[in-house]
Amino acid sequence: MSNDYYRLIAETTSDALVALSPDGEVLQWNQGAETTFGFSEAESLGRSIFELIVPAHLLAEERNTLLRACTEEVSAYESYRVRKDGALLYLNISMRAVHRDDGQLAFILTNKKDVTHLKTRRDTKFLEARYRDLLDSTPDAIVMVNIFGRIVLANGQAEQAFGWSRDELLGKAVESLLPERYRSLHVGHRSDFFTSPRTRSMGAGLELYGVRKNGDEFPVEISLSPLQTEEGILVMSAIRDITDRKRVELELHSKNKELERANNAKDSFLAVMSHELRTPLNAIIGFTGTLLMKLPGPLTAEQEKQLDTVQRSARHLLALINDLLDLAKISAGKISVELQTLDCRDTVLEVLNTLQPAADRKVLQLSSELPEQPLLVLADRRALHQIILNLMNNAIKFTEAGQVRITTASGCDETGAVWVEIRVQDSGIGISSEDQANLFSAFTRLNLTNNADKEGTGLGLHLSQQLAELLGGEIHCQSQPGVGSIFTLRLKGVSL
Amino acid sequence: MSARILVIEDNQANLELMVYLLQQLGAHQVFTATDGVAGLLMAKQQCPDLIISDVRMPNMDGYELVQRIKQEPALQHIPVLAVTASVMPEERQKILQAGFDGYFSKPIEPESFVQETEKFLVKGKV
Repeated sequence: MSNDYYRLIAETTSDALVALSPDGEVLQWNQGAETTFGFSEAESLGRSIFELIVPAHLLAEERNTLLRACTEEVSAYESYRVRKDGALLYLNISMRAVHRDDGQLAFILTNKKDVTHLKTRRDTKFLEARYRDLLDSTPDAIVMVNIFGRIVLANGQAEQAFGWSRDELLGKAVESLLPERYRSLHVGHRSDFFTSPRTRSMGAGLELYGVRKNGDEFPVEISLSPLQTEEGILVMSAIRDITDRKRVELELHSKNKELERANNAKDSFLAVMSHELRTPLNAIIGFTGTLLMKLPGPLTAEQEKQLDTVQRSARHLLALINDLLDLAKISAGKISVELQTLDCRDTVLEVLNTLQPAADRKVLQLSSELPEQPLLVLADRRALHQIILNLMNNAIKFTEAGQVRITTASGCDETGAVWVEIRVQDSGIGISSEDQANLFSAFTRLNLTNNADKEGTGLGLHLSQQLAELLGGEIHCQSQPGVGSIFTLRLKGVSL
Repeated sequence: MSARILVIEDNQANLELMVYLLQQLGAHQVFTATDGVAGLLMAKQQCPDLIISDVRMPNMDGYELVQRIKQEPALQHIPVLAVTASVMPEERQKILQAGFDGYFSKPIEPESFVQETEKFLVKGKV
């Protein structure tokens, strides 16, 4: 056959026909080679084929193949080449040595046919057979991509997530599942991944989006893992549609904001309540006081009795406001207890001093039995004072004759933790077992026939119990109607 | 031991109560103002022996008022007492930090209010 005839074939075939010297220098570069690899003839002639289009990891192998081709025909093997723009190609390659008439080796003719799309189809078949059932059973959308960035497997969840049918997905560039603005960037990331494939989550810390067939975008979370197969390396991406999660996160976020606003409103409400409710009481209690002190002038017995009632009611209202505020503060987490080691004997003596006049007025014997050594508890000074004051106050209030006695006890529980108890015992009217059940609930007022002087807010024990719990302790009650009651505050002790 | 006392309080009834007690029980000479700005002006004009002031007031609150008074060379020796309706411990702390020499909690006790006030008069003179 004439040289012209060869030239004609070389010019018409779409295959890349390249003539190489035994060491790989490009001697001929046809139109098909220009189209396939993107390099013009002028760019290629005289260059080493290995520098031009062979991927780095295949260099040694390809040099050997070329050497082999000098002595024997190498037919139809498949391998990867890199195009001028960096894209990876899958080629069907054959090589044949061409000799001059004198028998000397003239050049090696290589014929390369781009079968990238066939390879993708083959990858698809291979994967379908092996993994499809497995992947259909996972909750995430799974898309497998080959080294060319083509989708070679998609599970049912991927069809649902992206709105494409499986047949439409297969062979498609994976970038078509991304919003337009991310596509060119993704091509680069994809080749990076194939260079150092390892399991990782994609774009950690970034917001990622997928795009459906109809153009809708949705937030996704993607994890990538390489899959080595006999057909080469593939990337499996598990894609989770996190639209719902994002929505919940958003809702939670706004709920939190709302709660924060409500909490702030509650705080300022508490402060305003405290101020606004107490301000008018100041004048009521104050001027009732001045009248009872007879500063403006003498009072009749009846006037004095009525003013006493006004004053008692005003003080009751004040106590109610104070207790309510304390309760509101506890429920808002606004009472911060400062736990410290305290000698509870000091607190007990303080309260006894405060209440001695009240006991004297009712001719009650107020007594205490305290250890000689310091009795250390872990408590907040103000809270402890308030609890003991409350228990003692109640005891005095509900005892008509006899005594109110305060004693202490301490010991160790089975774990070795030290406890301290402060017991307030009275010889009062006692509490029936039915009433004991609700004793620590808010607004519990016992059904008493003669309770004119026993006004309480109904919050005292409830508040005391709440405070005791804040201190890691508790209050309990033993009582017998007609005999008396013992209220016991149990606290965490501190060993000396 | 009659003294010159300035009382600053925006609530009319409470102002009346304090003035009445101070006049009746202590026979003190009392000046009044109903907000912080007027109070400061009155303090400068009268240079009283003692100032009793509400904390929450329009125009200038008690915190700012006491700071201004304690910055005035002519006034800084005057004891300033707060009257507060707040029960929050943080606020009580804040009152002392702001420069008040002491405070009363509302409701004030008519039996002891004047007596407690006079303790600071003695201190102020020493």
